[in-house]
Amino acid sequence: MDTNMTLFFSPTAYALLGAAIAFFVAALGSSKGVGIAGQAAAGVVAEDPGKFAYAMILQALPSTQAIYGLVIAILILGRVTADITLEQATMLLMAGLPVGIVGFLSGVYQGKVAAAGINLIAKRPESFGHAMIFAINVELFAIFSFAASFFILGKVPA
Amino acid sequence: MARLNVNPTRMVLTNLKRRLRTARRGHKLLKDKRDELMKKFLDIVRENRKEREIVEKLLMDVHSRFILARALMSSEMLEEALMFPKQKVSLKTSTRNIMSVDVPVLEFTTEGSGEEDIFPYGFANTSGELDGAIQALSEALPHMLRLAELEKSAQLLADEIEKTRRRVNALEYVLIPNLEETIKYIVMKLDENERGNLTRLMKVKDMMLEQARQQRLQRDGLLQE
Amino acid sequence: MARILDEDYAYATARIRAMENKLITPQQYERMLDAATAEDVVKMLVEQGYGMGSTDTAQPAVQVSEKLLSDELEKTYALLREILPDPLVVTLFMRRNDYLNAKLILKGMYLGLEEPGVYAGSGTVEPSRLRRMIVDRDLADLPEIFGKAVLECIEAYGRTSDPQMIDFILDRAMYENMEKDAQALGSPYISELVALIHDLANLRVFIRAKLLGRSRDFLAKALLEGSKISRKFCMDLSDKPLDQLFEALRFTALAELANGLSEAFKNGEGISGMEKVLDEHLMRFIRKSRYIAMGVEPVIAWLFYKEAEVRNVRLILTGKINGISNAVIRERLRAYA
Repeated sequence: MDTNMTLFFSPTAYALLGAAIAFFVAALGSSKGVGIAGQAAAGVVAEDPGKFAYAMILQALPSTQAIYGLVIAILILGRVTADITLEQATMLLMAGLPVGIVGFLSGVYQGKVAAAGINLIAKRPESFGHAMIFAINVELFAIFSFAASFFILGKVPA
Repeated sequence: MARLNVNPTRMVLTNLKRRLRTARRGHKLLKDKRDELMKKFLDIVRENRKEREIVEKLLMDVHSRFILARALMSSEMLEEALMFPKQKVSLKTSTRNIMSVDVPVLEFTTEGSGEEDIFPYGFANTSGELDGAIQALSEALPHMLRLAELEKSAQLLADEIEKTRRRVNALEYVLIPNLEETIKYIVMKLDENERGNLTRLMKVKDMMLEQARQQRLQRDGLLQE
Repeated sequence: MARILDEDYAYATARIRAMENKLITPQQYERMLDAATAEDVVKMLVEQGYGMGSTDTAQPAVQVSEKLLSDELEKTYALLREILPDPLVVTLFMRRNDYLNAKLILKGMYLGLEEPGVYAGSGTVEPSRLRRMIVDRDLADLPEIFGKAVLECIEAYGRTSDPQMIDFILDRAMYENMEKDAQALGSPYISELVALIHDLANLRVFIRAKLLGRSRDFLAKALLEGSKISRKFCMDLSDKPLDQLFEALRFTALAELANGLSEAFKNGEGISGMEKVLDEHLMRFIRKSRYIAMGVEPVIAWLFYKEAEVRNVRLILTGKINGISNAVIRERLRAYA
């Protein structure tokens, strides 16, 4: 086997891929979400600087997906040892998928909801609580995916 | 009253009497003219008032409609819509004779591709309120021209009446009394002359009678001697 | 052109939403109507943030109000161009002022004026530049439809000496140009909106021509191409009484309008009542944008709200200056937002 093939069959590479997906994809979603919400926040603050605090809190909501991804990625990395088997490594990869993929989508959508929420508080600041609840409803799915990833990780034999 | 500075002769008297007759006839004619002018003037004034009321009502209507159209369009849009009229109106003036006064007659004719081409703008981007304003304005035009005609006629007639009245007054209060007085004066003067003459003649006659009597007495005396 | 995603409108939408609170409310209109003088209304408007801050409220309202309103619209267009990812969205609507200026220039040219007295602001081409282009027949920099229409105007005026042809040709071209710009934008919403505006304008032409009893020949010249309410649709109805239009409308995409128009017609409300029905229909379409979280819709909606607002304010100001009764003004105020 030449080097490339060694890499292809290397159990460690699979485990690291899992960690990478968990963080990279979720963070991608978060940054997109925060980006969208950030644009909206900037729009509102440009007109009404007094709403900065509300807008900032709503804008920050989609960043949690990246945090969940990061936690799972660290947990996966903690399981990577020198004598890891291919089977274990594949399982670790699987554990990374939920938080990565769901994190991406929920991040993007949460960003949109947060942007809409920022639009809402632009018109009616008293609706800040409502806007938070709408955004947090999306957060639930990110939490579920985090839990799923976490439990899958627990099933991986040491 | 000033009497005229004339020689109190019979010749002058005849002249004056002729002048007085002419003046009296002129006075009567002028008075008739004045009355007739007055009647016509009042007719015109009455029509004028009616027409003025119509025009004022129409123009108020036009005004309020224009304001609405103005309110609903920006000034540029309104300017664009109305800057280039499509219909041309030409005005012909002629005169009509009322009691030898020439009053104006205004006639207008429209030149355009159609009778109804009073809206020179496009309909897609202008407010419909403008249509009403333009329509009302075009309805007001004939009335406005008629009003102008009547106003000018009334003004000209009033001038003429004033002139005639002055003439009538001059005849009535100056010329005729003067002539009458002068005639009276001449008649009196002539009468006086007549009387003077008569007296003189009577005196002469007396003197002649006396003379004749003296002569007869003398002759009779001579005969008796 | 890469399609612009709704997310790209996040900033613009949020900014617009923040400004929607600053639109003049019905209560504020009432306060303006209750104001003693037009000068008071101007003061209220300036407090509201109207104009570019250069308005001298001590001046009589007659002198400052027109500038105040055109400043406000210019400000609106400038802001939209600044915050939108694709300025073509606004340019599309600003183009209307170019066409208006072209009409002013052409008519002024034929009247032998050195310069028309006024130009509309908020166009995409400087009026003086547009004038030079038209005078020199150098129309390459204008959109193709625009340039062609200007040449057509010159040709048609030379043939007929009829200034109205300039309006007809440029109006028709303007709507075609807007449709084409909308296609280029690739936004279904904008296309739908422009088609609706086009149809409503065509209906307005048709109704006004019918109310004024104009001939079929006139309609043939004055009608726009239209979208769903096409030229052919109108021409087919041109010899029939106006109520036939309302019946025919029931089978078109604008069926909603049939009842309102026919009612206004029967009540003898004339063109002002029917224009109100048309305007309200457009506003209903625009108002749907309030359910859109982000996208071009709320931004365009705001432009239309703002235009309706300026229209209302102009109505109140002109009414106050000329002593029109509040009832007459109120009847013509348009609701939005």
